[in-house]
Amino acid sequence: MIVLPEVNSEAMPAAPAAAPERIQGRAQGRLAALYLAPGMLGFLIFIIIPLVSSLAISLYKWPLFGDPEFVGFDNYASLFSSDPVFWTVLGNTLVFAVCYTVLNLGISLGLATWLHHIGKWGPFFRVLFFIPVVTPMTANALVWRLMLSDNGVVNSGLAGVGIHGPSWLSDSNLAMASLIAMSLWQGIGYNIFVLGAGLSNISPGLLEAATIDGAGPWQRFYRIVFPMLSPTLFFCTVMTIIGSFKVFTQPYLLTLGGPGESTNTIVLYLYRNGFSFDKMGYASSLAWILFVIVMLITALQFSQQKRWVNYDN
Amino acid sequence: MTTDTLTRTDPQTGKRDRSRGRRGRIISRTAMIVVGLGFIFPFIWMLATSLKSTEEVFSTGANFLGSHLAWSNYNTAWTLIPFGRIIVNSFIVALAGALLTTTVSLLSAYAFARFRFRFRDRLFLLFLGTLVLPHEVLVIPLYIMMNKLGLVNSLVALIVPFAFGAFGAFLIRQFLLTLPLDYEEAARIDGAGSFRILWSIILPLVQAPLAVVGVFSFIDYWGSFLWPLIVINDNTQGTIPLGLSMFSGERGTDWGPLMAASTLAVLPSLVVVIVLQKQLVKGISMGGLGGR
Amino acid sequence: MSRNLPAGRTVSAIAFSAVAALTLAGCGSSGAAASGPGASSAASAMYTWISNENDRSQWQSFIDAAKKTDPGFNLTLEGPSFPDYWTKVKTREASPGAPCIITTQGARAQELKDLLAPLDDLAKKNNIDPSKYNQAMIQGMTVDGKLRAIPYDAAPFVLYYNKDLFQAAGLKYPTENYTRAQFISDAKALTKNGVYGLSLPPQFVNGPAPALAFADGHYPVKDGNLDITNPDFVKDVQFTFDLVNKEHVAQAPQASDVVDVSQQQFMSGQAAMTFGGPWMYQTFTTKTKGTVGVAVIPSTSGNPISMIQGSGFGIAASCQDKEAAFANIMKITTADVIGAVGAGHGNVPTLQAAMKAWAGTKPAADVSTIETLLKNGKPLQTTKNWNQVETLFTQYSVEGFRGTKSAETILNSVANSAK
Repeated sequence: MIVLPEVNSEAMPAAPAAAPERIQGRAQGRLAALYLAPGMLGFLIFIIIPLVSSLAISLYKWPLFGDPEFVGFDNYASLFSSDPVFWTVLGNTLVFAVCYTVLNLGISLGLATWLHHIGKWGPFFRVLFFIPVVTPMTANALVWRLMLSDNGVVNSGLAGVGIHGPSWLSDSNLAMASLIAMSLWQGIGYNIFVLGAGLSNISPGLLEAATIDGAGPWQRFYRIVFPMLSPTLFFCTVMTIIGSFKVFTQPYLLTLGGPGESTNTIVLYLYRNGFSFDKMGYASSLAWILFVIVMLITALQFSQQKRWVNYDN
Repeated sequence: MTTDTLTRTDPQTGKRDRSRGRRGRIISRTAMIVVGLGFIFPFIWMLATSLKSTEEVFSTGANFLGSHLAWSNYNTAWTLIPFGRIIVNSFIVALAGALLTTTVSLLSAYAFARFRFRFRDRLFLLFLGTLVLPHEVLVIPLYIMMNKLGLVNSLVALIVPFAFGAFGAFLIRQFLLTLPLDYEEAARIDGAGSFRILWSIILPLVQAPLAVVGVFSFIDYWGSFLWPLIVINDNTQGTIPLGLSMFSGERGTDWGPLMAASTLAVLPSLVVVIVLQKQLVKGISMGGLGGR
Repeated sequence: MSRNLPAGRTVSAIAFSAVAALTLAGCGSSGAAASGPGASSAASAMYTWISNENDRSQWQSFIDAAKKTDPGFNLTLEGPSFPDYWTKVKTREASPGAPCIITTQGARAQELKDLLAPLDDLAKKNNIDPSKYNQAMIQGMTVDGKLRAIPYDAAPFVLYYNKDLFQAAGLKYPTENYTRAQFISDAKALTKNGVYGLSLPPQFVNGPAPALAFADGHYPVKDGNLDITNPDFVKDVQFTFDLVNKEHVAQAPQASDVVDVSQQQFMSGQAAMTFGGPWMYQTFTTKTKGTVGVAVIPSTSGNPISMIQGSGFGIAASCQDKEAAFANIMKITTADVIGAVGAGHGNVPTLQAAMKAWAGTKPAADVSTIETLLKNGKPLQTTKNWNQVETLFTQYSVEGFRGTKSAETILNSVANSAK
């Protein structure tokens, strides 16, 4: 089972003892540094430094052309108080993240369970559900845009059965739902894979025994499947939530953030501010807010994991 | 969501009510076929649209075929944007990115799993903390960095910055920790150096997680959109997702060629998954995401 | 798990060497080939919108025409689609090895002023007389008192109409005093059997709203500041929205539609009228089902003020060899070249000397319509953050066309966000 290490050293298994005589501690450190060099240099240059710079840039008015001008916390102040769009964008992203994560986990757990019981067809369908995960999001978004357009195949199909289809992408009440539907289709395959792997680790004997003891399907699920699957579910939840905060391609290609601001998301707003509206400092403050939110949510999940995640089975 | 309305078909489950099982299975499989067909419908529609002439894309409503098969869409797609070049770019980026990621991850994982040094665990935790860091947070400073280095509009800018995530190193390290040390100890007693051990003993044993890391980073690079959108500003230097988006901006409703291009963009990913599905399943269940 | 050690090693060895090879390939291609032209060739490289067939062949006709006098002339082109251009041009010109020549619209010169080198001295040196050019365009290309680009076309927005559909509906063709009232009644009469009177995109400047407002003498920008919330302008935008949700003479566009969608509706005969620049003339007249005519923008009074938003060539502030770049601009803005492009594509020349060539074989009525518009035109001038205004309007307009939000609400939101 995946054990996302808790923040204490018990979760960190000791390295094997070095062979005596051959490699002493210091030499080992030097060797380790050699192996670590590429990874850690890249980590420093492409992750740590940009992360810190991002914070620095967010304190400036930073145009693409011309000189940056130090403005302190003005960017944050205007985000929180005078920007008419920011709270909407934040709200949209949260709505998307919550709906998408809940639906994604529900549907993928259901399908993974179904596939687990379908016998030798399981692997085939598992791969089938995985396809949209690996095909370029742009291609997927474009075909959905085509299907959901006012006189696209979805509405033509509905018209065939006498229903006048709505404007899936141009109605501000439906646009977000369309976006979530498309994202679910794109994303559930991954969790089906992971949860399926988790399910196949539950020994059939255990379930048999429970059945003999007279446990019904739901009881079996609550008492055996869910606890044994909880670490995998936890991993999926963390990863899915983080993924959903990054949503960009779908609104960029399906709705352009419209109608109104109904599908504008943090990353889309960040991209536009940084690269279309020439406000890189402002965009960086958005980036930091995104960073803080994701970190907070992850920390929250880890603090809650003891409640429902069961690592000793 | 029912967990067990269907009878298990494992041979281990012993005797069960056969007739109910068989009927249940037929119903279940039929339902799954329907769900599966619905699920891949967008791809079917993509392919169908790619063979319609643009005038017929909307006028044919829900029909799969237009009046004729417009194979010329593929030709148009190929010539309208430098599609051949773009596909080559995509492959270079995805392959180089996947291999770089895998290599770096393996080296880091080896160091974290097999060596002792000061601050090891803290460094690893810090590194692991970035597992949840959205890369989108970094695009602005990275763009400025690439600009200063003169790498904007280059494939290097697409490959290098995103090859240092923690996921790969984490996965391989978890796997290494589950391997017995006997072989390595024996080799060390025979006088093999650490690189020799990595090359001859560990490498053959970690093929599965390596494949997982490789495939997932390939897929990430293949589909990456935001970063190319930012750092590439010339049509011919881009990758497929960027090419498709420009295409849609350029030829607003030239849906036929656009879907032809999309179909071409989808195929390689499809092949990768079908060819490597065994490794994927194996890797996911062994690489620590499910297996122990 | 692979038990087959040698095989595993071979795979890995191949993988490692492939990394090396591909990384090298990546680095190799990122050199001269990938980062565009070097300093020497940057002067003969142009960054522009190069998207649909129309754009492509237009730029090609500039090059071909220039080759007639200088067979050795060449210009390498790169760039994105028109809507992406205003985002991409900044990032492109901020990067090394960027093309020296930049295309800009008079309307967007404000926004790009930091990218565009002032050309006054070069113009003097090369004996360019700005008074020879269309004055509205020179005005549009001048920012902070400095000329930023040499205009090649003066594009008054026009109304394209499908003569066949007008005839079939038993309507008279629009005159040079076309009024809004007449326009509405024509559009209503034309809307039937799945054909709409008008097609329009969700964008701002490419859509009908600003052109209609101009026609009545209302402008979106006043003294360099955004003024889209003034009551007159709001009313004109509401008028545009009402064409869809009240009069039902046009289909509501979708936010993700680019301007091509409405153009194609017109060309396929699904809409009888559409608004556009003269640069679409050739495409519309040759590719539309039916004969296409050009009319003035409808106005309340019947005497429209036309919205002039032509384009020109400027030089990147970062350009190393501005002299050479300017020499290239000179070659593609001669009266001969501009005339040839005008003849082939319909772009209205900025030079009087080229007008004859442009009029060429065009129907006299079309020529006279455009000349009428040119006589009484004002340049569309915009603000530094126009890209944001455009983006926001496109996002919001969908609701305006569907009647769920009023023009006032939408324009106020846009103005608030684009402060």
